[in-house]
Formats: sequence, C-alpha cells, structure tokens
Amino acid sequence: MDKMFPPESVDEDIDRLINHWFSPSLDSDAQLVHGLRHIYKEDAALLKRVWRSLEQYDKLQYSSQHLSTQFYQRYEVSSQIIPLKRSSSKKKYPANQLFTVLAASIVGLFIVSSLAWILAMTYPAAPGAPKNVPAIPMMTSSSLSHFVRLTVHNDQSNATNYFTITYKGNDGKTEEYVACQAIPPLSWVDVKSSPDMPIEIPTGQTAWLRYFRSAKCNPSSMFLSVGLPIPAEPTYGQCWFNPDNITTPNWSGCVRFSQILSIHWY
Amino acid sequence: MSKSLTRLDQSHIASLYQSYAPELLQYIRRHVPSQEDAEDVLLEVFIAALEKTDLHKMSEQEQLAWLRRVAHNKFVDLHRRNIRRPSIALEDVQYELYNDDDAPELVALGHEQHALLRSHLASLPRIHQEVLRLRFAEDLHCPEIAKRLNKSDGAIRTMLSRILNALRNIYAHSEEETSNG
Repeated sequence: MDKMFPPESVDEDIDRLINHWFSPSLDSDAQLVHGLRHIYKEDAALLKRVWRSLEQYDKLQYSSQHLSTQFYQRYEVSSQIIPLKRSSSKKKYPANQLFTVLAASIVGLFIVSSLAWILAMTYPAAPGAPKNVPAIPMMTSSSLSHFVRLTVHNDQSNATNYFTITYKGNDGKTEEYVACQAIPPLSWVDVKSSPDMPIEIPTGQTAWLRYFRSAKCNPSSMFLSVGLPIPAEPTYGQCWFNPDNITTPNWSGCVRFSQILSIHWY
Repeated sequence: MSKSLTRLDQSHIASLYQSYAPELLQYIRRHVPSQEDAEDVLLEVFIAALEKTDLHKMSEQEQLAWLRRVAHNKFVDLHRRNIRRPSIALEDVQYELYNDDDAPELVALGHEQHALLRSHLASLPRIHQEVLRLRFAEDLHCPEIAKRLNKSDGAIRTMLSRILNALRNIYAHSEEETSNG
C-alpha cells in the first residue's frame, strides 16, 4: 500500500480529505479520516453533554439543600419554636420578678387542674374504655403520615424507554422506583390508557428523578435529574417542585418537561 | 464546558473530568456498545464521584482506579437491567429514523467500521489517543498540538503520520473483504 499522510504534509492531507470527500465508498483514506472525525466529535459532544448534566445535577443538588434549609427555617418560625437561651434567663427573670412568675405558675396549674376535674365529671369514660389514653393525639401534622405524590402524565412523545425515580432514605439506602414499565418493544404510548402514574415517596427523603431517553429525541438531552428534599410539612404553601423552573437543556425540543410532569401534595 | 465558571468548574471534579473522562469513556464503550448507555454510565460514575466527598484525598492513580471500579459496577448493573428489560440500541435503529435515503446495509457497514476503528483506538497508547483527539475533535493542527502537549512539531507530525498509516490498514482490509465477498 502506498504511504500516505507523510509527516511534512499530514495536516494538509487530513484537511483535504475532510473538505473534499465526494465518493465515500471508494476512498479508504477519506473513510478513515471521516471515521476518526466522527468518533472523536461524537465523543467530544457526549463529554460535553455529560458535563452539562453534571453541572445541572450539582446546581439542583445545591439549590435543593438550600431549599431544604429555608423550609426548615420557615417551619421553625411559623411554629414559633424559639430556642431557650439559658444564658439570658437571668436577665429575663431577675430576682425581684421571681415571686411573680412563681405565683402565676401556681395559679395556672390550679386553673388547668380544675378544668380537667370539671371535664372528667361532665364526660365520664364509657364502661370498658381503656384507661390512660393520652389527652393529645400522638400523631402530629409533621409525623410520618404524609407522602408526596408524583404524577407522571403521558405526553405524545413515543418510544420513551423508561422513567425512574431513585430516592435516598434517611438510612442512606438508595431505592429505585421504575415509574414506567413500558419499555421497548412496548413504548410510552402503551401506558396511554393510564395517564397518571402516582408514586408515593415518604416524607423526609430525597428523591432523584431521572428521565431517560426517547428514541425520537437526542437521548441525553432528555436527561433530567432533580434532587428533591421532601419536606414533612403538608401545608407548605408553595409548589414543592415546579417543572417550569427546570432549565435542563432540551436540545431536540420533543418534550417539554412541564407537559409531562407534575408533582403535588395529596 | 460552559463559559461562566460554576461551582462545579472550580471543584476537583472538573480537573478529574478533564483528565479522565475521555479515557473512561473509551473504557466504558468497550463494554457498553450503545452510545446512550455509555453516556448514562459515564454520568452515573461522575455523579458518584461528586457525592464521594473524600475522593480528592486519594492519589491520582487511586482516583482513576476508583472511577474504573464504579464504571465497572455501573455497567454490570446495566447489563442486569438489560437482561430484565431488553432494549434496542439507538444506533441499531437510527437508520430507520433518520437516514431514509441510505441503504441499511451501507449504514450497517459504516457502524461495523466505526466499531472496529474504536476497538483499534482503544488499544493505542494514551498519548496517541490524545493526539488524535486534539486533531479530530478539537481540529487543532500539528503546531498547536505540539504546543499543547509540550512536544516538538516534528514529533507530533511523525506520530500522527504513523498512527494514521497504521489505521489505514483497517479500511484497506475491510475494502478488500467487501470486494471479495
């Protein structure tokens, strides 16, 4: 075989083959150059996309931590949980006011016990009722009874492979939830009959929601990774997760996340 | 990578990514033929790296070994998943989706040649791969590559010439096989 690509003109030879390639099936040198170009360009684009996804992941991870901190701060304020400052207690209750505080406590105790006695006399316990029932239910609004419902709405985009939600529990274990079982040769369209696919994730956990590829779209562009701290407070005023705020690059424009995702309380 | 520096750009992950991601991608692609799966695996590996807070305490070699181990575990997981839920690689069907004008056998032949070329590239020394990457992915010419790699222009020209002549055989052989068969 003739020697090609001599060192002194290797750059020029490559450029020539890249720019003037008319008969691909005949010229093996052109095929080689185009093959190399194809492979390295493809890899470079892939590396770029992965890096963007990583950036997105990191940003969301950071903002979700921030959101979580904000939420708990807000929760503390709204619940008026004010930390007791031992060092300032002497200033708040100086010695000359100590007697007043003590007297008020005794009066308060007397009133509460009188009320309890009156209630007990007015509403006696039914025969056979269990004794020692706590006066205040143990279940509070922030206990474990709440879930977040994540609903995946079907879109017209077909051939979506699958949709998974991974959430990390407080114990650090990772659980994976495959939201859509419709995979090739089945497709996303096959779940059209049941458009809503609710997933229940217990509160106090972080969910990673990952949306995988659609054959019609550039696959990695469809990647969505969202770190979602699931707050324990069900009356959290704002939308916990607003898909419209997700700025994940959507190169192909086939699917808008806002059309396919909604997450809400129930 | 994006122009404005992000938090991630400034982290050790950025330099780790720049140094090892191309090599790791080659490693992954040897075991995961589908480009999309390779992309998923690579991303998962670096997400794991991002979450491993003490990674930067390791030596460079240990970091690479750790990344490879994670990649290995990820593509083992992927194979298990694929056994449970078989799927078709996009490369296998994309000629149906995009290339209506091309004959499927030509497209298939192209894929085969690319796969063969990839396997040859994977066996090249790291420096050769880097020269090819700079020439074909970043479109740098020999003097620029030489500057980037701290070598002489002549050395890079000779290296590139040798690599390309060695790789020419792949296409020459496949041409012969096509004309014989």
